[in-house]
Amino acid sequence: MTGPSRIVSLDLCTDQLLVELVDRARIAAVTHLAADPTVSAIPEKARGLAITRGAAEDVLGYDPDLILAGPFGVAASVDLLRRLGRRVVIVPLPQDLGGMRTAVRTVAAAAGVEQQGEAMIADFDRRLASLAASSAQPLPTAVIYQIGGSVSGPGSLADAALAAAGYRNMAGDYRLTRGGQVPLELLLADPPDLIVLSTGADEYRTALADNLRHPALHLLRQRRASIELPWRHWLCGTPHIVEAVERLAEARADIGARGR
Amino acid sequence: MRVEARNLHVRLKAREVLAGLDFAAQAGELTAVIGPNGAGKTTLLRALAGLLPPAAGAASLDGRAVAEWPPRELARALAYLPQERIVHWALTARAVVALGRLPYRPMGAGESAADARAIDAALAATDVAHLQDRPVLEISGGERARVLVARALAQQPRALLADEPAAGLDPAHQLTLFAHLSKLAAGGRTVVVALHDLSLAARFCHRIVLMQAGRLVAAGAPEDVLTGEHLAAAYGIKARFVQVEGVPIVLPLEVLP
Amino acid sequence: MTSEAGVKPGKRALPLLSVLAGLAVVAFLLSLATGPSGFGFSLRGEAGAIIFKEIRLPRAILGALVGGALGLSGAALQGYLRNPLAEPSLVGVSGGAALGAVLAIHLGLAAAFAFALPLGGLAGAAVAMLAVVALAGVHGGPVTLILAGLAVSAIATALISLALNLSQNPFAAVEMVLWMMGSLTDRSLTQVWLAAPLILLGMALLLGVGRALDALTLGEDAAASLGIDLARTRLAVVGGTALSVGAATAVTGIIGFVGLLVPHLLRPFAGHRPGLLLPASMLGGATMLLLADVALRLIQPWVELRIGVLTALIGAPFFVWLVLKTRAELAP
Repeated sequence: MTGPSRIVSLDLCTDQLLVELVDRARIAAVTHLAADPTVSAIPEKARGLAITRGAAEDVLGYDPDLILAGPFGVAASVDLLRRLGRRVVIVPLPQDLGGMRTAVRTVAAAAGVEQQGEAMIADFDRRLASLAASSAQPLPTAVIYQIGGSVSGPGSLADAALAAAGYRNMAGDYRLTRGGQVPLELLLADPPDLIVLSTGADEYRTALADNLRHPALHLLRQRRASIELPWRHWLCGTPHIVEAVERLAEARADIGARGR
Repeated sequence: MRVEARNLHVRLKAREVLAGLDFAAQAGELTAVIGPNGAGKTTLLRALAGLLPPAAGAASLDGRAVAEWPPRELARALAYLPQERIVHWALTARAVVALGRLPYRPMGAGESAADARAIDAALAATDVAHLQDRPVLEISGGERARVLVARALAQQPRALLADEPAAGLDPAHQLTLFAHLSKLAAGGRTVVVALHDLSLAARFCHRIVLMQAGRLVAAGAPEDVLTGEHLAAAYGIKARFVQVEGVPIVLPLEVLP
Repeated sequence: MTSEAGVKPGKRALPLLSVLAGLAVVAFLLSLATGPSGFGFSLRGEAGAIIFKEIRLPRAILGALVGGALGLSGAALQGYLRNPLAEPSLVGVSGGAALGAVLAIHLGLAAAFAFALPLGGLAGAAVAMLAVVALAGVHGGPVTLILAGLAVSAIATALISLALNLSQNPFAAVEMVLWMMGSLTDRSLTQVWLAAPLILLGMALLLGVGRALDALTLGEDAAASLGIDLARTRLAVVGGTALSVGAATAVTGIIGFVGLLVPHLLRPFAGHRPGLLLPASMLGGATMLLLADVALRLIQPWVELRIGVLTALIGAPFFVWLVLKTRAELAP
């Protein structure tokens, strides 16, 4: 079996792909986020692996023959590692499902496990196809409402997930602020059929999440269908996003029950 | 009202400024406190007004220790006019004088008719009525000094302690101010004035108290206190006490070696 | 023999306060009527009632309370320190309150029980004020108090940065920005109920020092001889500022310049009297913050500003004007 045997990953998304595609023995280190159940879809699988914070000196300590990184945050370290002659593969952040497939293939090719990569994608496609197609016309609307009123607009991975689950992403209908946020008033005045939130609001130790704790939102959720989808399923473009899509598709039934 | 101090010791920043001072001023009298710079005149007045606690001895008003007077009652009975002519904000002259009525006004109450009368009388007595709507920081230093005297008068106190009230005033206003203070004393008030102008003291005051280094040197009628010996000992000057057209004058002649 | 040309001081109060109160009411109504879903009081649908009661009403009430607290405490501090440049943030209260609130959030206390946030802000403000008084000394002059306030503010800012740096929270950096710039957005009635009693208590303490501030115009000795209890005044000013501004900052973050600007602008109308300036600045501060918040929402489609940024944008040119005016006055 050829292929790199001391792989270091510097990014949560590449961490997750790496851990599921490649034998543990070939993984030298991943980030601390890989074992964090809040943000990682596969925390149990990443437990016990060595952890790196991304500084070049630390990474070099593992004598890696392959370094995987995302496009943001580690530019200086990546630059240095390349100049020292190490092989670094940057995996772009997927913006849609096609991009997710590309990311899987990129990691698989770099690690020499193309077969496992294709198997992972095939599994994902099978689960996606088995979802009941939406027969409702017009499509039910949904908005992913996040901290500070941020919404996932068109052209994002979350948007692709909504479409795959049979919804129309309503975020573009609102007059968003410059920062891409929906004022709570507008959400109340013209609510979507489904409100998608990420985990319980009390878990956020930040005043920025005040909008999620607002009594008005609570009142809205009593009148409209809503669903809480943990962040970890779709923070990164891994095939685990299919779990989010599956739950979203299930929620379509709930909308019918509550009425429009 | 009797204003007195018995064996008064006052310390400021670990230095003993008043070292066992005895003092008495009666109602109906204008008493002058004189002495060289650093004698403790200001400290005495502040202690009599209850602004400084004694380290030993006592200051009392009408037989009751100053510290035991309730603040509001004390403020109605005694007015203190500091030497520094501080006015922090650009109030009108009338508004400054009106501050003298604070001890009489309950919280939140506006100016009563009695307040207005007291203010008008005080403005007239110090000849600043024509300035009452001017911002007090825009008038001359001497005029401002008179406005501050009016504030103390507006308090309608039984005792008035004034620290150098005439400093910086032109001769006409010095005379009218002291004439008014005499009238106040004649009307039954106790008036105590600290000052440097020995001639003014001699002319208007019934009693003079001469201090030096925190102690009493002499007290009594002007001609008894303002003798050549006392002035030489206290001020280190050779001076003569004369009368010109019936008005007493203290003439400093020269500094003694 | 009263003056004919001028207005008697007592007569000035009623018209001034009536006008300011009227402006405050107008500003409050404007705030209730303004929002992204439409201008006006009757908004369509059952959602309209929720929007009005749960979103716009708390925002307007907080705008009035916080603006009033900032204006009032600014006037009280300027009167007490006899310095027209004093304001709550200068004496360390805002920084302390922000630090207390940040700690309450990041130590998880705010999630554990509801009162943690305003109480945390309050505790931070109280500690900051105590530190300032301890540093400056009980009988220190105005300059030492302001210097001490700057020192405590610097320490508070450093500690906030440290707390957020060490925090596991991915939003830490944005969090600090939020606190430093202040916000009235999406505050709920719950936060109003928590903060309002403390703010009102603090304001009551501050409104009570009017006589003392008037007397202090003549300096401490004269004020004491007029029957003013100086120690009690100092406690009321310190305590009232810590309570009202502390609770306000805990809910909204740091909003600057209101406490400095409003007393300055209103001082000539109040005859330069520090006592009258207190209620006047309270009403003026409420008006100013409410109107700024209305302006904020009107320009929202084009630019997203935080309220603290807007008050800073108004305040900075004011400083420039102040410098030029002072130069002109001091010129020969």
